[in-house]
Amino acid sequence: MKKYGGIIGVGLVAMLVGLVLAMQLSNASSSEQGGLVPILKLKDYEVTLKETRAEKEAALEELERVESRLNSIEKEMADEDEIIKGLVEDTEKYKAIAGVADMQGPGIIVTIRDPEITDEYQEDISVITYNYELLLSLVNKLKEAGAEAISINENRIVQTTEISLAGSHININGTATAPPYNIKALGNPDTLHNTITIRGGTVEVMQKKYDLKVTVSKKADIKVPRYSGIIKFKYAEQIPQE
Amino acid sequence: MNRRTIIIIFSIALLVGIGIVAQSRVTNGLMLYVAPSTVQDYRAMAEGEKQNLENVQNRINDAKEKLQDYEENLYNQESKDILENISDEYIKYGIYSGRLSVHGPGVIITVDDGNRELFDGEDINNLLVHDEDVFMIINELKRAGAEAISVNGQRILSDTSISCSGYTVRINGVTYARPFKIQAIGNARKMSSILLGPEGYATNLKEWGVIFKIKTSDEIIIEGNSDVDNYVYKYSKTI
Repeated sequence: MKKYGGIIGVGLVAMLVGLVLAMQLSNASSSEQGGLVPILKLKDYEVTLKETRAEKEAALEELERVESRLNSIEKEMADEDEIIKGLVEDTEKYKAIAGVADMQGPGIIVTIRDPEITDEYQEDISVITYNYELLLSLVNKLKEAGAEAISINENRIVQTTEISLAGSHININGTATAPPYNIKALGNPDTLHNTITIRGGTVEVMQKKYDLKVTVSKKADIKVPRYSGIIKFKYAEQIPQE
Repeated sequence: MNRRTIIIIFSIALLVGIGIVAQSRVTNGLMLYVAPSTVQDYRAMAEGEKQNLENVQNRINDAKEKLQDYEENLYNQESKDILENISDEYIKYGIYSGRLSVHGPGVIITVDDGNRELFDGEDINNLLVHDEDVFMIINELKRAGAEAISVNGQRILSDTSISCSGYTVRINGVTYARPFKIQAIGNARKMSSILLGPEGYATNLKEWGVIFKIKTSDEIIIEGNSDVDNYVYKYSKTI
């Protein structure tokens, strides 16, 4: 017996090492379909996200420079010509109403978070993503309360804005978004706040029925970004006015 | 156990120990694993930001092109191109804001309360058209790329809400009763297939018994909303 003692010891240790290795491998290969994912993978996306955001900031600054040059030329022309002046002024107004201008003013910020997973057997899905009509209904209510500009996670709500489920995330203005959702609305903070927090209203439904974590806060000064997409009409054509 | 075995076991244990330490170092001592949905969220966010970046870059290119145009013509004393450009912009944003009337191909949808007999004890609400149905249909049309939409002749603007108040529905502050006629200019085939598909919203509505009719048309006219001209911002201002 003493003769084999060493071998058994080594065997046990080898088994342990094997187990650890196997666990490692299976975890690494389980990908995003189920189970847990190494945090390293998340880091990758985090880095990409940060880089893209920085790049976007730089691009926006450049855009602002070019557009301010354009505007100054247009203004110069407008000062010389009454027709151009009228056109430029009307265009500015249309742009604002269409949602193609940054807006600033008092309003509210609504934050929607998915419920925390307390049960380890609970299905790991985003509640707000699969019930995106809650967002639609919230936006509709905010508009009804007289919101002058609304954005969801910095995506401006415009005439053509859709909120739709695309696979496992929500698309807004054709752009992929993820929770938590920050909805900004400009307008009378009290009216906006009280419209959506009415008993049995959208916020209460979100909290009671779907267990979502919703906070609504009034703010004296918020900024809502302009629509950043491209506007192109393939089918619609203006009916010429006489 | 002889000395050799002890050495072997010792060295293996050492290796495992180093392995564990190395693992925890890599993750900065944070938790080793995260839920797949977190990764999914990050991926969606990264994708979204990329899309945003692309949009901004396209806008820069557009603006630069225009600027070049302007600068060339400014010194040529030929402002024709600039005037053309300015009126293009006027039309583009005029349509997008909902001020200018447009025409084009698209779909005409009629939604009405169902007229079938109720089952015993069935709620009449199952057969009625609600505000939610109307804005879900509009949302689906937008998803299919609709360029201009009107409900009972009321142009849908960026701030249009649709709210149910008893028997009527209020759109842009004007009250309407059933039936609802929704017109949309855009790709007619895409719009009708999104609504009528097996998972489509119209299929769902029809199953409840609500009346839903859709027909395509080569020429739809959607009037502009002249209220745009008198719109006053009470709380916010442009930056």
